Amino acid sequence: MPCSLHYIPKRLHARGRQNINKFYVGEYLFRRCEEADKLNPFLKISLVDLSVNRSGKRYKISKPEDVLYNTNPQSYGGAEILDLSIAFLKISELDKTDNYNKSYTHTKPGINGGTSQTNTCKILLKHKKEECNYAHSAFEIYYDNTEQTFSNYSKLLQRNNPLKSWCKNEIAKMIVKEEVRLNWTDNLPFENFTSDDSKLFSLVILFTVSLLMVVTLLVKC
Amino acid sequence: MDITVNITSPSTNRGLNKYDLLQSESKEVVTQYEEVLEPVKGSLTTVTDNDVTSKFTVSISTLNPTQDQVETLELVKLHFKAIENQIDPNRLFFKIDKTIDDEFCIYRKSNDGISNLIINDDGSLSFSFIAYKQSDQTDSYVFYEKGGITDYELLAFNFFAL
Repeated sequence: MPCSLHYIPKRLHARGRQNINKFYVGEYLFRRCEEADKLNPFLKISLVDLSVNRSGKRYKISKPEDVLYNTNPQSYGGAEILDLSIAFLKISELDKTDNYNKSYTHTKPGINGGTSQTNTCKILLKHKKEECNYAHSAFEIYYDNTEQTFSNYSKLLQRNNPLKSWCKNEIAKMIVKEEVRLNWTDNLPFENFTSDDSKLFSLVILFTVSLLMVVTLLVKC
Repeated sequence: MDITVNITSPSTNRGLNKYDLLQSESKEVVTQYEEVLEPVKGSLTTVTDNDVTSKFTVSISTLNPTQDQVETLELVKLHFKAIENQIDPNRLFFKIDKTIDDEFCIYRKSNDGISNLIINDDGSLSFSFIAYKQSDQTDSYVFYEKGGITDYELLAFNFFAL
Protein backbone atom coordinates (compact mmCIF):
# COMPACT_ATOMS: atom_id res chain seq x y z
CA MET A 1 0.00 0.00 0.00
CA PRO A 2 1.55 3.35 -1.03
CA CYS A 3 2.45 5.93 1.59
CA SER A 4 -0.52 8.17 2.36
CA LEU A 5 1.16 10.62 4.71
CA HIS A 6 1.10 13.95 2.85
CA TYR A 7 4.07 15.43 4.75
CA ILE A 8 6.54 12.67 3.84
CA PRO A 9 8.64 13.70 0.81
CA LYS A 10 8.17 11.45 -2.24
CA ARG A 11 11.90 10.66 -2.33
CA LEU A 12 11.41 8.71 0.91
CA HIS A 13 8.49 6.61 -0.39
CA ALA A 14 9.45 2.98 -1.03
CA ARG A 15 7.45 2.82 -4.32
CA GLY A 16 8.34 -0.81 -5.00
CA ARG A 17 12.07 -0.39 -4.40
CA GLN A 18 13.80 -3.39 -2.80
CA ASN A 19 15.94 -3.44 0.33
CA ILE A 20 19.65 -3.12 -0.38
CA ASN A 21 21.15 -6.09 1.41
CA LYS A 22 24.52 -4.55 2.08
CA PHE A 23 25.94 -1.42 3.64
CA TYR A 24 28.93 0.73 2.78
CA VAL A 25 31.96 1.82 4.76
CA GLY A 26 31.59 5.58 5.04
CA GLU A 27 27.80 5.40 4.97
CA TYR A 28 25.96 7.06 7.86
CA LEU A 29 23.15 5.82 10.06
CA PHE A 30 20.88 8.41 11.67
CA ARG A 31 19.05 7.68 14.92
CA ARG A 32 16.58 9.99 16.59
CA CYS A 33 16.88 10.42 20.33
CA GLU A 34 16.56 12.91 23.13
CA GLU A 35 19.60 15.20 23.34
CA ALA A 36 20.13 14.07 26.94
CA ASP A 37 20.29 10.41 25.85
CA LYS A 38 23.48 11.10 23.95
CA LEU A 39 25.24 12.07 27.19
CA ASN A 40 24.91 8.56 28.59
CA PRO A 41 23.12 6.29 26.10
CA PHE A 42 23.29 3.36 28.54
CA LEU A 43 20.27 4.66 30.44
CA LYS A 44 17.84 4.52 27.53
CA ILE A 45 19.09 1.70 25.32
CA SER A 46 16.36 -0.74 24.38
CA LEU A 47 17.43 -4.02 22.83
CA VAL A 48 14.15 -4.38 20.98
CA ASP A 49 13.51 -1.25 18.98
CA LEU A 50 16.77 -0.01 17.49
CA SER A 51 15.62 1.72 14.34
CA VAL A 52 17.85 3.99 12.28
CA ASN A 53 17.79 5.57 8.82
CA ARG A 54 20.56 4.75 6.38
CA SER A 55 22.10 7.53 4.31
CA GLY A 56 23.29 5.54 1.32
CA LYS A 57 26.70 6.38 -0.08
CA ARG A 58 27.01 6.79 -3.83
CA TYR A 59 23.25 7.30 -4.18
CA LYS A 60 21.76 9.28 -1.31
CA ILE A 61 18.88 7.44 0.33
CA SER A 62 18.07 9.93 3.09
CA LYS A 63 19.17 13.12 4.78
CA PRO A 64 19.80 13.27 8.55
CA GLU A 65 16.64 15.28 9.27
CA ASP A 66 14.47 12.69 7.48
CA VAL A 67 14.72 10.51 10.58
CA LEU A 68 12.57 13.07 12.41
CA TYR A 69 9.49 12.46 10.22
CA ASN A 70 6.81 10.68 12.20
CA THR A 71 5.77 7.70 10.07
CA ASN A 72 3.34 6.48 12.71
CA PRO A 73 0.68 9.18 13.17
CA GLN A 74 -0.85 7.20 16.06
CA SER A 75 2.21 8.06 18.14
CA TYR A 76 3.71 11.34 19.36
CA GLY A 77 0.27 12.99 19.34
CA GLY A 78 0.19 12.91 15.56
CA ALA A 79 3.08 15.35 15.17
CA GLU A 80 4.48 15.38 11.62
CA ILE A 81 8.04 16.22 12.56
CA LEU A 82 9.42 15.19 15.93
CA ASP A 83 11.24 17.63 18.15
CA LEU A 84 14.14 15.30 18.88
CA SER A 85 17.88 15.23 18.41
CA ILE A 86 19.81 13.11 15.87
CA ALA A 87 22.69 10.75 16.63
CA PHE A 88 25.07 10.18 13.69
CA LEU A 89 26.78 6.80 13.36
CA LYS A 90 29.42 6.44 10.66
CA ILE A 91 29.98 2.91 9.39
CA SER A 92 33.72 2.26 9.68
CA GLU A 93 33.97 -1.51 9.39
CA LEU A 94 31.83 -4.30 7.92
CA ASP A 95 32.30 -8.02 7.32
CA LYS A 96 33.24 -9.66 3.99
CA THR A 97 29.62 -9.53 2.81
CA ASP A 98 29.42 -5.80 3.54
CA ASN A 99 27.14 -6.33 6.51
CA TYR A 100 27.30 -5.77 10.24
CA ASN A 101 27.00 -9.08 12.05
CA LYS A 102 28.54 -9.40 15.49
CA SER A 103 27.96 -12.08 18.07
CA TYR A 104 29.04 -12.92 21.58
CA THR A 105 28.80 -16.22 23.45
CA HIS A 106 28.60 -16.68 27.17
CA THR A 107 28.90 -19.95 29.04
CA LYS A 108 27.47 -20.23 32.51
CA PRO A 109 29.20 -22.96 34.48
CA GLY A 110 26.98 -25.67 35.93
CA ILE A 111 26.24 -25.52 39.64
CA ASN A 112 27.76 -28.33 41.75
CA GLY A 113 29.11 -30.13 38.72
CA GLY A 114 25.91 -29.72 36.71
CA THR A 115 25.73 -29.05 32.99
CA SER A 116 27.03 -25.70 31.82
CA GLN A 117 24.80 -23.49 29.70
CA THR A 118 25.98 -21.67 26.59
CA ASN A 119 23.99 -18.83 25.00
CA THR A 120 24.71 -16.51 22.13
CA CYS A 121 23.67 -12.97 21.40
CA LYS A 122 23.93 -11.56 17.90
CA ILE A 123 23.56 -8.01 16.57
CA LEU A 124 22.65 -7.63 12.90
CA LEU A 125 22.15 -4.45 10.90
CA LYS A 126 19.42 -4.75 8.27
CA HIS A 127 17.81 -2.47 5.72
CA LYS A 128 14.07 -2.80 6.48
CA LYS A 129 12.21 -0.41 4.20
CA GLU A 130 8.81 0.96 5.18
CA GLU A 131 6.31 2.38 2.69
CA CYS A 132 6.80 5.91 4.02
CA ASN A 133 10.48 5.53 4.79
CA TYR A 134 12.64 3.66 2.30
CA ALA A 135 15.73 4.47 4.41
CA HIS A 136 14.45 2.62 7.47
CA SER A 137 16.98 0.16 8.86
CA ALA A 138 17.40 -1.51 12.23
CA PHE A 139 19.82 -3.28 14.49
CA GLU A 140 18.15 -6.63 15.15
CA ILE A 141 19.16 -8.46 18.31
CA TYR A 142 19.02 -12.28 18.34
CA TYR A 143 19.24 -14.43 21.46
CA ASP A 144 20.06 -18.03 20.54
CA ASN A 145 18.77 -17.30 17.01
CA THR A 146 15.46 -15.85 18.21
CA GLU A 147 14.88 -12.23 17.31
CA GLN A 148 14.12 -10.11 20.37
CA THR A 149 10.72 -8.48 20.28
CA PHE A 150 8.64 -6.59 22.82
CA SER A 151 6.76 -9.81 23.59
CA ASN A 152 9.70 -12.19 24.12
CA TYR A 153 12.51 -9.94 25.39
CA SER A 154 11.56 -10.21 29.09
CA LYS A 155 11.61 -14.02 28.87
CA LEU A 156 14.84 -14.36 26.89
CA LEU A 157 17.70 -11.87 26.63
CA GLN A 158 16.58 -9.75 29.58
CA ARG A 159 17.15 -12.78 31.82
CA ASN A 160 20.72 -13.30 30.68
CA ASN A 161 22.57 -10.42 32.32
CA PRO A 162 26.05 -11.10 30.86
CA LEU A 163 24.72 -11.10 27.28
CA LYS A 164 22.28 -8.24 27.84
CA SER A 165 25.08 -6.09 29.31
CA TRP A 166 27.40 -6.92 26.43
CA CYS A 167 24.77 -5.98 23.82
CA LYS A 168 23.98 -2.71 25.55
CA ASN A 169 27.65 -1.86 25.83
CA GLU A 170 28.14 -2.45 22.08
CA ILE A 171 25.22 -0.19 21.19
CA ALA A 172 26.29 2.47 23.72
CA LYS A 173 29.79 2.40 22.23
CA MET A 174 28.44 3.09 18.76
CA ILE A 175 26.48 6.10 20.02
CA VAL A 176 29.28 7.54 22.18
CA LYS A 177 31.94 7.03 19.49
CA GLU A 178 29.52 7.94 16.66
CA GLU A 179 30.79 4.95 14.75
CA VAL A 180 29.73 1.43 13.71
CA ARG A 181 32.62 -0.99 13.87
CA LEU A 182 32.94 -4.77 14.18
CA ASN A 183 36.23 -4.75 16.06
CA TRP A 184 37.04 -2.06 18.54
CA THR A 185 40.80 -2.20 18.45
CA ASP A 186 41.39 -0.94 21.95
CA ASN A 187 38.90 -2.96 23.93
CA LEU A 188 40.94 -4.25 26.84
CA PRO A 189 39.56 -4.93 30.28
CA PHE A 190 41.38 -2.92 32.92
CA GLU A 191 42.00 -6.14 34.83
CA ASN A 192 44.72 -6.84 32.28
CA PHE A 193 46.72 -3.99 33.74
CA THR A 194 48.00 -5.00 37.13
CA SER A 195 50.15 -2.81 39.27
CA ASP A 196 53.14 -4.95 38.22
CA ASP A 197 52.41 -4.15 34.57
CA SER A 198 52.25 -0.46 35.41
CA LYS A 199 55.59 -0.63 37.22
CA LEU A 200 57.17 -2.48 34.29
CA PHE A 201 55.77 0.07 31.86
CA SER A 202 57.13 2.93 33.97
CA LEU A 203 60.56 1.29 34.11
CA VAL A 204 60.61 0.85 30.32
CA ILE A 205 59.70 4.53 29.83
CA LEU A 206 62.33 5.62 32.37
CA PHE A 207 64.97 3.48 30.72
CA THR A 208 64.12 4.82 27.24
CA VAL A 209 64.21 8.44 28.39
CA SER A 210 67.51 7.89 30.20
CA LEU A 211 69.00 6.25 27.13
CA LEU A 212 67.91 9.17 24.95
CA MET A 213 69.46 11.65 27.38
CA VAL A 214 72.76 9.76 27.40
CA VAL A 215 72.80 9.58 23.60
CA THR A 216 72.05 13.33 23.37
CA LEU A 217 74.87 14.12 25.81
CA LEU A 218 77.31 11.90 23.90
CA VAL A 219 76.40 13.58 20.61
CA LYS A 220 76.95 17.03 22.15
CA CYS A 221 80.34 15.97 23.55
CA MET B 1 -14.85 45.92 54.33
CA ASP B 2 -11.32 44.87 53.39
CA ILE B 3 -10.05 41.79 55.08
CA THR B 4 -6.33 41.19 55.09
CA VAL B 5 -5.04 37.80 55.99
CA ASN B 6 -1.36 37.42 56.80
CA ILE B 7 0.00 33.93 56.32
CA THR B 8 3.39 33.46 57.89
CA SER B 9 5.33 30.43 58.99
CA PRO B 10 5.94 30.23 62.68
CA SER B 11 9.53 31.16 63.40
CA THR B 12 10.05 27.95 65.36
CA ASN B 13 9.21 25.79 62.36
CA ARG B 14 12.68 25.63 60.87
CA GLY B 15 13.57 23.33 58.04
CA LEU B 16 16.38 20.84 58.18
CA ASN B 17 18.29 21.92 55.11
CA LYS B 18 21.78 23.35 55.43
CA TYR B 19 20.70 26.96 55.06
CA ASP B 20 18.15 26.71 57.84
CA LEU B 21 20.59 24.84 60.01
CA LEU B 22 23.34 27.43 59.56
CA GLN B 23 20.93 30.17 60.54
CA SER B 24 19.93 28.24 63.59
CA GLU B 25 20.13 30.04 66.87
CA SER B 26 21.16 26.82 68.53
CA LYS B 27 24.92 26.79 68.96
CA GLU B 28 24.83 23.02 69.19
CA VAL B 29 23.24 22.62 65.76
CA VAL B 30 25.72 24.97 64.09
CA THR B 31 28.66 23.24 65.74
CA GLN B 32 27.46 19.83 64.65
CA TYR B 33 26.84 21.03 61.13
CA GLU B 34 30.33 22.49 60.91
CA GLU B 35 31.77 19.20 62.13
CA VAL B 36 29.98 17.40 59.33
CA LEU B 37 31.23 19.91 56.79
CA GLU B 38 34.83 19.73 58.00
CA PRO B 39 35.81 16.58 56.03
CA VAL B 40 34.99 18.31 52.73
CA LYS B 41 36.64 21.65 53.36
CA GLY B 42 37.54 23.17 50.02
CA SER B 43 34.74 21.46 48.19
CA LEU B 44 32.33 23.50 46.13
CA THR B 45 29.60 21.11 47.11
CA THR B 46 28.44 20.14 50.55
CA VAL B 47 28.51 16.83 52.24
CA THR B 48 24.85 16.87 53.19
CA ASP B 49 23.44 16.68 49.69
CA ASN B 50 26.24 15.55 47.43
CA ASP B 51 28.39 13.06 49.25
CA VAL B 52 28.68 9.35 48.54
CA THR B 53 26.46 8.26 51.43
CA SER B 54 23.70 10.73 50.58
CA LYS B 55 23.66 9.80 46.90
CA PHE B 56 23.44 6.08 47.62
CA THR B 57 20.90 6.55 50.40
CA VAL B 58 18.63 8.67 48.22
CA SER B 59 18.97 6.28 45.26
CA ILE B 60 18.27 3.16 47.32
CA SER B 61 15.23 4.73 48.94
CA THR B 62 13.73 6.15 45.74
CA LEU B 63 14.66 3.76 42.90
CA ASN B 64 13.33 0.50 44.39
CA PRO B 65 16.33 -1.80 44.04
CA THR B 66 16.09 -5.56 44.51
CA GLN B 67 17.71 -7.04 47.62
CA ASP B 68 20.58 -8.34 45.44
CA GLN B 69 21.08 -4.88 43.97
CA VAL B 70 21.13 -3.35 47.45
CA GLU B 71 23.86 -5.77 48.56
CA THR B 72 26.05 -4.90 45.56
CA LEU B 73 25.30 -1.18 45.93
CA GLU B 74 26.39 -1.29 49.58
CA LEU B 75 29.72 -2.86 48.61
CA VAL B 76 30.29 -0.25 45.90
CA LYS B 77 29.32 2.52 48.35
CA LEU B 78 31.82 1.28 50.92
CA HIS B 79 34.70 1.64 48.48
CA PHE B 80 33.51 4.94 47.03
CA LYS B 81 33.41 6.18 50.60
CA ALA B 82 37.01 5.10 51.13
CA ILE B 83 38.02 7.13 48.08
CA GLU B 84 35.98 10.09 49.28
CA ASN B 85 37.98 10.11 52.49
CA GLN B 86 41.26 10.09 50.60
CA ILE B 87 40.87 12.52 47.74
CA ASP B 88 39.24 15.82 46.93
CA PRO B 89 35.47 15.24 46.96
CA ASN B 90 35.19 17.51 43.94
CA ARG B 91 36.60 14.68 41.87
CA LEU B 92 33.93 12.33 43.12
CA PHE B 93 31.28 13.59 40.76
CA PHE B 94 28.97 10.75 39.76
CA LYS B 95 25.27 10.07 39.31
CA ILE B 96 23.01 7.14 40.04
CA ASP B 97 20.00 6.38 37.88
CA LYS B 98 17.89 3.49 36.70
CA THR B 99 17.91 2.22 33.11
CA ILE B 100 14.79 1.24 31.20
CA ASP B 101 15.54 -2.39 32.12
CA ASP B 102 15.63 -1.57 35.85
CA GLU B 103 19.39 -1.88 36.15
CA PHE B 104 21.10 0.53 38.52
CA CYS B 105 23.52 2.70 36.62
CA ILE B 106 26.26 4.56 38.49
CA TYR B 107 27.94 6.78 35.93
CA ARG B 108 30.51 9.46 35.57
CA LYS B 109 31.67 11.60 32.68
CA SER B 110 35.24 12.77 32.27
CA ASN B 111 37.02 14.62 29.49
CA ASP B 112 37.98 11.24 28.03
CA GLY B 113 34.71 9.32 28.14
CA ILE B 114 31.92 7.76 30.17
CA SER B 115 32.33 5.27 33.02
CA ASN B 116 29.36 3.08 33.91
CA LEU B 117 28.82 0.59 36.72
CA ILE B 118 25.70 -1.36 35.85
CA ILE B 119 24.11 -3.38 38.66
CA ASN B 120 21.60 -5.97 37.46
CA ASP B 121 18.54 -7.27 39.31
CA ASP B 122 20.50 -10.33 40.51
CA GLY B 123 23.34 -8.22 41.91
CA SER B 124 25.75 -8.98 39.06
CA LEU B 125 27.72 -5.98 37.88
CA SER B 126 29.44 -4.75 34.74
CA PHE B 127 32.03 -2.03 34.49
CA SER B 128 32.34 -0.16 31.25
CA PHE B 129 34.48 2.73 30.15
CA ILE B 130 33.74 4.10 26.68
CA ALA B 131 36.28 6.62 25.45
CA TYR B 132 35.24 9.50 23.21
CA LYS B 133 36.53 9.12 19.66
CA GLN B 134 39.02 11.99 20.07
CA SER B 135 40.44 10.49 23.26
CA ASP B 136 43.41 8.13 23.27
CA GLN B 137 42.18 6.37 26.41
CA THR B 138 41.56 2.63 26.29
CA ASP B 139 38.02 1.25 26.42
CA SER B 140 37.17 -1.27 29.11
CA TYR B 141 34.37 -3.74 29.65
CA VAL B 142 34.18 -6.37 32.38
CA PHE B 143 31.24 -8.40 33.68
CA TYR B 144 31.14 -9.86 37.18
CA GLU B 145 28.62 -12.38 38.51
CA LYS B 146 27.35 -11.56 41.97
CA GLY B 147 30.11 -12.32 44.45
CA GLY B 148 32.64 -12.50 41.61
CA ILE B 149 34.41 -9.26 42.39
CA THR B 150 37.51 -9.81 44.43
CA ASP B 151 38.77 -6.26 44.41
CA TYR B 152 36.11 -3.58 44.84
CA GLU B 153 38.84 -1.08 45.66
CA LEU B 154 40.44 -1.47 42.21
CA LEU B 155 36.99 -1.23 40.63
CA ALA B 156 36.21 2.00 42.49
CA PHE B 157 39.59 3.56 41.68
CA ASN B 158 39.23 2.70 38.00
CA PHE B 159 35.74 4.18 37.96
CA PHE B 160 37.11 7.52 39.14
CA ALA B 161 40.49 7.37 37.44
CA LEU B 162 39.36 7.01 33.82
